[in-house]
Amino acid sequence: MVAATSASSVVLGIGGALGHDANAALIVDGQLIAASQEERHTRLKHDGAFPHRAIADCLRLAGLPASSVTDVVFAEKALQSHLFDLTGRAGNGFTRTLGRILPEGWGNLYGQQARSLLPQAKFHHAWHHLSHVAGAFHTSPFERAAFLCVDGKGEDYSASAGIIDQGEVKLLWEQPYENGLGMFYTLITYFLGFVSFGSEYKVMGLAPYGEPRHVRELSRLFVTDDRGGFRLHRPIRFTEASLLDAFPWVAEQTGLPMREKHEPLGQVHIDLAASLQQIFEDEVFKMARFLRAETGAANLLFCGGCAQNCVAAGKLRSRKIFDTVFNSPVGGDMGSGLGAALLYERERRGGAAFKVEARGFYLGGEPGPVPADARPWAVPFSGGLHAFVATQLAAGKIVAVVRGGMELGARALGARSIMADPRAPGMQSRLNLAVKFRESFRPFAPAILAEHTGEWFDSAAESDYMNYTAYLRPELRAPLPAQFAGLRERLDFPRCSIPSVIHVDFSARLQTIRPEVHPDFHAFLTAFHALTGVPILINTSFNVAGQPIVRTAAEGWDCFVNTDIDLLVLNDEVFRNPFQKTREEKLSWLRQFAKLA
Amino acid sequence: MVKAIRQAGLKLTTALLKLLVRPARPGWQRSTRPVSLRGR
Repeated sequence: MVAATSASSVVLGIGGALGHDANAALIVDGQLIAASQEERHTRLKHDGAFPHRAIADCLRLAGLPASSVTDVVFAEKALQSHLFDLTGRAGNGFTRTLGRILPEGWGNLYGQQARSLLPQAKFHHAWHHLSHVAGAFHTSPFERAAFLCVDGKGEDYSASAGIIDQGEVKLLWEQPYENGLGMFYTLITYFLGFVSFGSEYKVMGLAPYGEPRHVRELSRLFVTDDRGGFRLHRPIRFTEASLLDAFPWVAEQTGLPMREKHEPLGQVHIDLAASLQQIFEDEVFKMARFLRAETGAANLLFCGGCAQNCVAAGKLRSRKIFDTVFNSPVGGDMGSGLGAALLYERERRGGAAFKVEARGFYLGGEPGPVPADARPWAVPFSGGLHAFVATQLAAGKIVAVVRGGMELGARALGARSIMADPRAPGMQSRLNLAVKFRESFRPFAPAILAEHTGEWFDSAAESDYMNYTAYLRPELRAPLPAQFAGLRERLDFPRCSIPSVIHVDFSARLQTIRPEVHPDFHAFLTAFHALTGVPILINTSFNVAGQPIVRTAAEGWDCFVNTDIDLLVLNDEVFRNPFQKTREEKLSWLRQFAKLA
Repeated sequence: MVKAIRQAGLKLTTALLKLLVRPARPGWQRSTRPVSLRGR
């Protein structure tokens, strides 16, 4: 809590004005206090409305009124974005000059609401990609690093690259237009029938089931070069209508069939996903090699929405194009407000180098009180919460946790998580179908005690935020049959002792757990390890398909009683599931969120 | 009437802007984007 009278600089970063993933972050006198996503408050996934509630949450955590905010920094330059929308052409010196003459926030989706909420604050607008870069750099361990930012759309560009040396940012290169690599991934994701916004990670999860047989066909859609200079042949806007309009073109150019949303996945679709992922990785590697040669930097910050592709990030790290790669957990749009605020803070300090303590990105509010409905179902225990929960997990129970400050970003990091034993046979299907209500092929992530990572995986490097993949050590793999009859058989094959968290290609999206970053989760894992000898737990976000991650204790209870999770930890107490709801009641509850792909 | 004038104005502005903003080539281009937040 910060005393209102003592704060001289209160910087509020606001992201999401491009129309999705609205978020806010607060820096008070150079100290990162809080960050929050609007979807966690409104329960609308990827909500792009003005982040009233996220802002209020940040101010509440700081103990400051809205009137104390001195500066507001938006993570987009609305004017530049509109000029691009108007002309369909990437900006140049002329449009940049317009940005000096006209208000940069002209046409800002959030402008009016922000002005009425914060009339006393000065408004600033940051380039979208630089917001991502700042968010990554100031929470990274680097003093000097090259940066590669790739996403669906900045104001009028899809990729940017440069170098940060101490406090100085040099933006060297950019790829104009929005029909770049990120748009390509989104287009094929939609073409594959995953038509909910932000479903690219599902295609990434599907890819290992297939073979990249359609690279040549997909290559007819774009032009590229040996530096990863990439552009689709057809201009496509970052709107659903524009993506859908492009389907006949994709089908005609590639000769490949489109998949309808609820159509079963065929081998051709799975192979298409594998082909897409391969092209994506190859392009990212080319970009990285180009940047390494240009800058000579040893470290790389990989950020933007495309950096959320943890498979590519993991391979980028293992290929050693750069000595060290940092893939920011909030490098996507959900952390853009934080990045914008940090960009302002950097300038406020006259460009001096600084780092902020990200506190494991547990930057949101506490769960609040346990709802009265839960009280009759409290489970008495002795011997400590962590030891009790570990016993239940080892007995095959699925346990959800709502404790401490909420995580920022797409992934649950242990404060709003569902945990389970990765050794349990069939746990992947059980969790997917009865708890998360999502596609059975989707893998789960292992959380592992950091000090044991090298015993299980090919890389012992840190992955604090589930942002890289690694591969199970060869000696721990079961021999696979020469051929599988289908996806189901491949999924269910007992490929190792922890099958629920090891994908069919033996990859895993690791979260390495260190006590200084994740103290509470470390305690759960330590207790489970002591009991079973296995330092690994399944960690998946506490939500169901189509729903944002739960935030409060009440939301946690609501989600709990509508799923087949066995136990719920709310703050320091444990509750058992009454299992009173019928299947139909649960599905009815689910439909309010459902936009299932 | 107002709507028609507005649309005509928008079309004219767009045409003028297109004259001043040339299509960019694909691939990596040298960035001329100013990185500073201040002064604008």
